[in-house]
Amino acid sequence: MTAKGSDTPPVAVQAAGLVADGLASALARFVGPLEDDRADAGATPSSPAPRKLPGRAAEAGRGAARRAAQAPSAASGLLEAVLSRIVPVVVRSVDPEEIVARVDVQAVVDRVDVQGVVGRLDLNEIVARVDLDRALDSVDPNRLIDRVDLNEVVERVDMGPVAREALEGIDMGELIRESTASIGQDTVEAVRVRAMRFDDGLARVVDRVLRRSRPRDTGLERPEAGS
Amino acid sequence: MTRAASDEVVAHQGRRAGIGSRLLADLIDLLAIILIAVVLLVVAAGVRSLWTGSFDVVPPPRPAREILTGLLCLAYFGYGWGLNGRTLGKILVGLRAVGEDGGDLSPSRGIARAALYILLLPGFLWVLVSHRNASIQDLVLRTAVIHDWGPGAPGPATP
Repeated sequence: MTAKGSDTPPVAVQAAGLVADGLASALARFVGPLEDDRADAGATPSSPAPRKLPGRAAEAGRGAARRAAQAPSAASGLLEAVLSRIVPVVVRSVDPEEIVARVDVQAVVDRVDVQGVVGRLDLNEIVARVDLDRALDSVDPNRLIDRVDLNEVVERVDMGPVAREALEGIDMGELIRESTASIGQDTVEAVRVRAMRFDDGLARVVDRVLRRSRPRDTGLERPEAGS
Repeated sequence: MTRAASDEVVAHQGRRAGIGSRLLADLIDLLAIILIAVVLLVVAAGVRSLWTGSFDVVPPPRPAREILTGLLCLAYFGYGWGLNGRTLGKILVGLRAVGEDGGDLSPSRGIARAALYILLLPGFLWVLVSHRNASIQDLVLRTAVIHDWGPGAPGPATP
């Protein structure tokens, strides 16, 4: 189980190696350094003389120390072999549905600060990004209207109360009075203006017949101010 | 009313009316007088029926008919002109009878004007040729008939 495309051993192997190194160090302290180690390090006059163990016990201790020194690589191989057999079985035996069923989703949701999340959202910016014109252009109102059965809608409406309410809101008397007065006033004003124009036209004709050059003096003789 | 018509109306306010407007007002007054006469005849027939027992609308014989018609016209026109210079016809056409200085007519002057109209009706036609749109009655009594639409008249157009 090494990472793909990497020479680094898996974490489990590294952990096993560390454990094995620890064991080897502990054994080495307990039984003393190996002969090879001693030869490599070189004995100094000041260093204490190694403790002499009885013959078979010393040989067993050195064998253990050698095995302990080789333990990391052996443990790594063993662990890899074990894991390669265990992991597929574990994966096959795991039921995601059961795991999900055991999770209290409601509790998870309750812990989420929805208000905080919503508060962080800039709704104006989101709305500004929406192209409403494009969305509206894609809507075909004729299709929508075609789908609506207006006759059925109208049949469902109880027109009686609607009509009564509408009529109650309208002061028919005032409406008729206002409209009648307006029509009457317009008619009267139109007749007055026509009569004025008729006067002016007739006066021009008469004055032309009478060969008058000046227009008629239709003003009043207002008294002079202060007189 | 269009702005041009409104300006035209404003320009005519306070100026002497021509024969067309005055004739129209007098025709309306004539209809009003006929209506009043009919009402009076019906009322008279009702009062008479209290004694005779039969409801008959009978016009009075001559010369009482002419005298009563004259008196009715005198009351109608004299009351209207002497009160505020307006009869029903003049109200509808937007006219007012005033003195030559624009002041209101006194009741006696209004009655005198009505009497002159009854006695000298053709004098009304002088408006047609008068340089100041004045009838014979206007010239005698120094009165005039002007365009006066009252408070409902359109005001001067503002720029």
